[in-house]
Amino acid sequence: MQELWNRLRALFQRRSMDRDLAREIEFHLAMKAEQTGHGLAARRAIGSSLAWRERARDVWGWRAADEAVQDARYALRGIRRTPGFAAAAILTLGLSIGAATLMFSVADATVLRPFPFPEPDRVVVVWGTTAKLPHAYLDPGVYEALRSNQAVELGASMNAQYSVGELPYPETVSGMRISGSYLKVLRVQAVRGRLLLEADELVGGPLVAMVSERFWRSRFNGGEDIVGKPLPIRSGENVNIHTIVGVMPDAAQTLEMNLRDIWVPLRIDAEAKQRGLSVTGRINPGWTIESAEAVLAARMTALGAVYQKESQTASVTPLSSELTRSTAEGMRILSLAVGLVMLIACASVANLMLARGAERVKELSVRAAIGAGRRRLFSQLLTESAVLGLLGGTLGVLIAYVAVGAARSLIPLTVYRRDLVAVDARTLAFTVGISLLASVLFGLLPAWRASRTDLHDSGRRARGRPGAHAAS
Amino acid sequence: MADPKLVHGTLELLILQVLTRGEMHGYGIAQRIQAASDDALKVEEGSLYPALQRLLLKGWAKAEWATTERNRQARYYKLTPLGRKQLGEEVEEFRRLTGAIEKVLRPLEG
Repeated sequence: MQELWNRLRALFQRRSMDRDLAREIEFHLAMKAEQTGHGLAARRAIGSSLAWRERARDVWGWRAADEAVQDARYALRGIRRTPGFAAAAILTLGLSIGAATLMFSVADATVLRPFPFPEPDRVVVVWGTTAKLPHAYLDPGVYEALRSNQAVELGASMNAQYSVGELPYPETVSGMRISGSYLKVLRVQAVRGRLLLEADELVGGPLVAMVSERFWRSRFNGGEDIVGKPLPIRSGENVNIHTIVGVMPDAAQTLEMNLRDIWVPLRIDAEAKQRGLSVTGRINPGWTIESAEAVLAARMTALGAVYQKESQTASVTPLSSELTRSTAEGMRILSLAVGLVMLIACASVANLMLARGAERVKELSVRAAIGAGRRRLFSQLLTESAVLGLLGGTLGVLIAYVAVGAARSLIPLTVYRRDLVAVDARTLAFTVGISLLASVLFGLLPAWRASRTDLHDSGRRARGRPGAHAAS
Repeated sequence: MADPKLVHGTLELLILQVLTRGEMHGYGIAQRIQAASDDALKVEEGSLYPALQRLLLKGWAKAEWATTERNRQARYYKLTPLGRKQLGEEVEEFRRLTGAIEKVLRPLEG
């Protein structure tokens, strides 16, 4: 906002602003003296002009900023003076914040982060449901018959493994066979070139393929001439050359298994009929998941006799829950555990601070004697906690950064977005947040107590104590 | 007469209004307010300068040094377009508020 921007700019212009204000008020007083003829009164007023200038300066909020910087400096000096306490506190905080950061980076990548395609809550998976098998792939004939419904736009896919490249060293690559409508359902855009289309599915047409961004980078060096490059894919004895028509964005990596590198148009063959198709859909506007499910189920019952031996109905589940089903539960339990660890850490540090508070009575009473009010003392002590918290957070980030690789390797490959687990900007933001939260948790009570102790009496009592810290 | 306790923000409103008549320095603004209110409102320096700083902070006015007729250096305040717009809104808000207060007070009279 305008105001915040002005405040920020003003920070750098303080001295000239002060000068302006002083001259302005001088002028004012001079004018007053002149016009009222009360020269003496005006000269007396110069004393109070200092107060007016203070009040005018306060408008900019510099005092708060100055105090905060002062308090932070003081806190750092205090930490250097008591390294043992500081080390214990920072270590405790560092370990617990590190654990929390690590856990957040996993939860964020796998569960929390929003899905990379538009309106993700409308994207669903359609299963065939029978008494014995609640989640089964659909027969291609059923899929075709279901496509012409009003409620849900459907697309089909099948996982596949491909052997890519010429002999003698072909590479095995994970891929997908997809219908053109599958990409429409996800509403993704090609990074280069074009998406696979329904026209590509026609048998007898030219063989095409799309590759993933990482495949493009690793095998083709990210060259801009990727569109049109040949991709040899073995199929049994033969090697078919597919022409690359585009690069798939990472947003389309929606399967929970390892990232896919090749997409090929889905042509219905014996294998498709045998394994069945995975059907993804996007609910049309005006429809809900339940109403769409009802429509599809009705269709399927009507088709029942034609395509399957047992009657099968449709069940529709959101893609988001499909992808995070296995991890969400575990993440919840893990967060609880990590949360408890943090609380314990905060309690320990609070304990350390309370113990230290008793030793600081002399120092605090001196500060009170030179005019620091209770409120100021309280904010000073809270700033100390914040400094400790942030130092602990820094240690935590380092620990998490070192450990994240190991953590990632513990996550099964089948987990959605597993490869995105990293200490990134979002995770760092979380770390800062939780460090400050922890600072409040462990610092509030000690700060409150310390600022409330009867400092005058305690100061007097403490004067004669040998070995007491000298106030800085 | 002592500076009456103006509701927070009212002084800024008065200053904005005064500035619509043209640029003016702090002393002049206080004079104009006093004159326009028939001497009822004497703005003290302790309230005036913080209010002027607030106008600068919010971007409702700009300040520039210039020479007065008597060859003195004075800091002149000028309304910004934002300030002009704000004046309109503040006047409306003020009238609405005082209108409401009037309504409450009416039954108490006679």
